[in-house]
Amino acid sequence: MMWKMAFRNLFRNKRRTIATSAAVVAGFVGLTLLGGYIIYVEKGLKSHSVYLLNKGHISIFKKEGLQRYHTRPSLYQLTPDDRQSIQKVLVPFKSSIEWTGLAISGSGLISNGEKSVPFLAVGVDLESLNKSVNHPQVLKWARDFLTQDSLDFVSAIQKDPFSISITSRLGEMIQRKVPFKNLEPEKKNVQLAGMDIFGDLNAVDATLSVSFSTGSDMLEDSGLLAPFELLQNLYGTDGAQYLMIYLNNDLDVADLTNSINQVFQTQNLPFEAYPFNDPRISANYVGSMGFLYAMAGFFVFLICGAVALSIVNSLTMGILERTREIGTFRAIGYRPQQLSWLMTQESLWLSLICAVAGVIISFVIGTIVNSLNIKFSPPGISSEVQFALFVNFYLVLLIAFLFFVLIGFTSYFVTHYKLKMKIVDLLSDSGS
Amino acid sequence: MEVELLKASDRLRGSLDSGLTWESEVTTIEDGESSTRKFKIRAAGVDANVEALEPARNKGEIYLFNDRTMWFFKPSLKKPVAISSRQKLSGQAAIGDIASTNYARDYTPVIEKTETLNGEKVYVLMLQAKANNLTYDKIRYWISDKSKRAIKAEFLTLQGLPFKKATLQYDNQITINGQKLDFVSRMEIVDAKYENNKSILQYRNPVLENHKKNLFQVNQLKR
Repeated sequence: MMWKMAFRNLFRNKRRTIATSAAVVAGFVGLTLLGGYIIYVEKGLKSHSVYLLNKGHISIFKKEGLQRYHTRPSLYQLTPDDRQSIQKVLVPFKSSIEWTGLAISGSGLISNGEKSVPFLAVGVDLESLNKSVNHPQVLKWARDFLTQDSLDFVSAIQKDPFSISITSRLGEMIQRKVPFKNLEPEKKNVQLAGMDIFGDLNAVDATLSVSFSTGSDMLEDSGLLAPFELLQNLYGTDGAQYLMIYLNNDLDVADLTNSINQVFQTQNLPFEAYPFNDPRISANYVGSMGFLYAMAGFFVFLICGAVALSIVNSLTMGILERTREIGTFRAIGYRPQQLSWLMTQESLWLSLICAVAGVIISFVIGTIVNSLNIKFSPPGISSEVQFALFVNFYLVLLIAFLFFVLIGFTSYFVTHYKLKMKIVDLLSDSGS
Repeated sequence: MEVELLKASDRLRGSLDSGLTWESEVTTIEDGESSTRKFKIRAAGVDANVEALEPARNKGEIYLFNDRTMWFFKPSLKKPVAISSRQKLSGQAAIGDIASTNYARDYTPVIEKTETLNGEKVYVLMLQAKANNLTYDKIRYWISDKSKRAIKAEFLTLQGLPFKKATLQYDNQITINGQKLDFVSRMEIVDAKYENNKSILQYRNPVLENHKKNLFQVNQLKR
């Protein structure tokens, strides 16, 4: 009965209801689209970091190896024995793990026989490389960072284990232009030089096969991707810098990292596990998401504030217009709480209608924006990325819940405060 | 005067127009770990050919110095790798330290002051790099007035703070045109911050020798 009355009351002042609804719908759509954009970026950056930057969901280093590997690789590398110990520790977690891989990174010089320029290299085992570039998460979320060359790199290594992939800018610095596959064999041959783990200069031959993008503008002058064994050869070691763990479900990352670290501690093993969202592992992911979350927090505050003020304004006007009616209700026995609840119900009806309209508008805008395939270059990102919105059911549900709570509480408190007047004052109100 | 002083001291470290051959044993001690490498150095004028002799894993590797350009080559490579002077810097003894002898060519000297060291009058020179691709930007260099020997050196950061210190000894001799000259026998390079980290370069068997020109040609290194 009360809900029905509350719904009918919405049509008593249609103009105000429409004005308030417009503010609420605009806020709802704004938050939904902002959330949709953040989800899209988060999933893209996560897939890029975990799979394409070869960090894995969890990476395991020798104790203090994350900080010190590059200064003392011989001391902080994972030897074959270390890797065996780690694999034993991982056995109980097997059901959560999709696969494990090995990586090594380092710096050095790439030379065309006449000129050398510095590189920052990552070497990844072939299986991880293959699974990463073809992973459904990458194909769905990180396509912007994936080129045909990235996909071709695996087959290039299978044909020639000396194949390397470098950024196009690094290629230009050694007078090699993309596509590298069109170069003459002589021009494809380059040398990689670096300090081995004994501190001696070492060098290996390599074959330029394809180009790739690091995803970061800062690293685009020096990025080099190589087979794991080739970098092992360059740095004169049979060790690895870190072991990557790829999970079936990335919701398990924090729990699994803690569990693995606990086993390391109880068994007194000198290893440390880090989740991909540790700023020391994925600075770009953590930094970008931190900025987006801070920006989102600011917008949520502004939008919620605007919606709450619209509701306060609408209800105050309604109470002023309906003072004598409220007095009559009170005179026939209605308690102030019941009247507060009636007016809150009116606001909740409004919220529901606005949520339905907001969902439809958000999905329409999201579909249009995504189909337009708008590309832009975010600061610090080396390639163009699509401006896309991922509006999903859970996001809509979360924002609708937020609006229901916000509008419900705002309405109840405003009306509860305003309806504390005496009945005689309410009935004698002139409406002015 | 400064330039003449520097040229004279360079001669005692191997900077001769005529060919010279010597062996160098480099012992590096870093964080308590010690390693030893041996090289054969053949130099003439601004060129030098440094061949790694030990350890076995490095045997056959060649560092070729053509003026200020260094090339690295090992038999398994198809082409040599060019390494600039700046990129030579590594460990306590940079590869550049092993064969770089020509400070008069690379640095502009200015006499800062004179000092008495072990009863000897020495000039303290500030050497400023002539090009920005040299191993060091600045070197403070102590040269004996009487013997023209470089006695010690401080390799300075851009801010002018020492990051490596070196001391030199001259127990070798070479004979040029019947005249006996002292030749460097030991150079100890110590990390200015962590003094236990150091490299000791021992120079052995210096002999005058005419080298074929192609010994210093990078094309000869290609496989």
